[in-house]
Amino acid sequence: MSTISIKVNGKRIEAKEGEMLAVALFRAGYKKFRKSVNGEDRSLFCGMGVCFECLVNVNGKTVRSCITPVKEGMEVEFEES
Amino acid sequence: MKRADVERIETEIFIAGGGIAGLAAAEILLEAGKDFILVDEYPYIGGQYLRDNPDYRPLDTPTRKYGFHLRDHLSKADNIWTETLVAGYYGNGEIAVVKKEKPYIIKADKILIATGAREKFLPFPGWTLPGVISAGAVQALVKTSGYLPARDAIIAGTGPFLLAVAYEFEKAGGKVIEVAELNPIKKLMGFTTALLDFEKGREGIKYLVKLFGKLSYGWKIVEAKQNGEKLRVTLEKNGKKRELETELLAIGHGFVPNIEFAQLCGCPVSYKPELGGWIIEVDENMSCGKDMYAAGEVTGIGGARKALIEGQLAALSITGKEDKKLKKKRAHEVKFAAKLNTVYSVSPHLWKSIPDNTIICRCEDVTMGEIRKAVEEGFVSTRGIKGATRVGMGNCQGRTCFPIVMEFLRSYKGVKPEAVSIRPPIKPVDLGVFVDLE
Repeated sequence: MSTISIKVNGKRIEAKEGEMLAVALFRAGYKKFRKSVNGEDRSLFCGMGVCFECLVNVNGKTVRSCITPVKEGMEVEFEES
Repeated sequence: MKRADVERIETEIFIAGGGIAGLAAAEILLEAGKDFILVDEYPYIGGQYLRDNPDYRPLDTPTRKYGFHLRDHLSKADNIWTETLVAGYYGNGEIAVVKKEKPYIIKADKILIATGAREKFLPFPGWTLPGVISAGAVQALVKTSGYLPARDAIIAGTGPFLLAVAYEFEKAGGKVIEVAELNPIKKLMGFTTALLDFEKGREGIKYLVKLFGKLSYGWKIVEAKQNGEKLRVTLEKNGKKRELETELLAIGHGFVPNIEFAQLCGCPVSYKPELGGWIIEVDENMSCGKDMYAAGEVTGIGGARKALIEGQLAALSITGKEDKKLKKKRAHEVKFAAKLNTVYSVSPHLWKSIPDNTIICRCEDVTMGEIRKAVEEGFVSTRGIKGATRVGMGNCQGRTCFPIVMEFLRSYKGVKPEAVSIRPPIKPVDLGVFVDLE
């Protein structure tokens, strides 16, 4: 896997192309991806595309980061605590 | 604004799911010269069982070896569509799929449903904390990505799968603090000799040897609390409590079949606790309706070998062949699975006594208290409880919470709720896929 850089909340991080986005975010130190309805921090839970807890925004579209491979040009956004 | 262009494709057989069942079927159909399209939601085929990256194959049983052969052999075929979501079924063999944001209608003569299973959880206060993740997620992170999500972990819940996850976590360099099995050893003992007869059982013994001294039995998770960077986990057995600190708490209480697409296809469902809950009913030829077939976990939780055999049986039926020996092998696997699932089940009183302050629906933050109150007011049907509380009405469409709600409702005497009714799209699809906004 070749190393590429993607944008996360405006900052550049290094990521391995083709790796799951959630893993790239974990490796870069991001551990919380979402605020729940009541404002609690949530993170990846099922890791297989079922629970929708790891939703983030990529180039304007909502994706499950646990089953979305990292690609060049990704701009990822989510609410940080 | 207008409707997006939808490409129409015709094929003989449509296979939903590229796990071991779907792949086993695909291999036979390929050899028979059949025209088929297999779709899978993930960026790669192999499902959950074969998601290891090529450098990480810790335990190779015959089923795994053959599975990897299938994965490697089929992954380059252009009639295997990855990153493709099955959105709906509209009768007449017409399936709506979305491949990388582009919509298609695939018209197939026959449909094979091999949509696998997902994990099931007995929730507790704190199971929504970022440090609490599913046992399957730990396995996925370690096996697929070579990423160790924490230095240490408690792995808790029920079932032999926890042992596999603990084994892999240690193998990847993590420290397993404890594997807390919910069921008491007495309940599991009678089963151990049966294990020796089965591939899965022999695999289990390797795990037990590696994890010796870290296993506890009969302990339930009471709660998890954030304590700085760590989690403080309270376990309980016979009224006795103890606390442990860990970076990661991995949980899993068995599996439930992903029956949603099969339901849309009109296949018959029934509630079989010994096979994981709501399952698709199939005959011995894996048929579940006219031109409909199902194989793998969706017909009952039974693991990879059962899935492999069922995929092969389904493909044989589709090609008009029969293998009596294989049918016998399947019956053997199903029998074993039912025993295993029964021994590692969660007692009804545990579903019934989930504390009120526990979040059940993670998407909508609906608590046990709200659900219990609604049930006591008389909302005991599937539709009723959804309407009364919003449980199961979020993004995951009830995939995580509804198996819990189902068990909770069934813990009431005389309450027999129906399966959740399904409408397309069976998973959320961006509206922009169907509508051209220009």
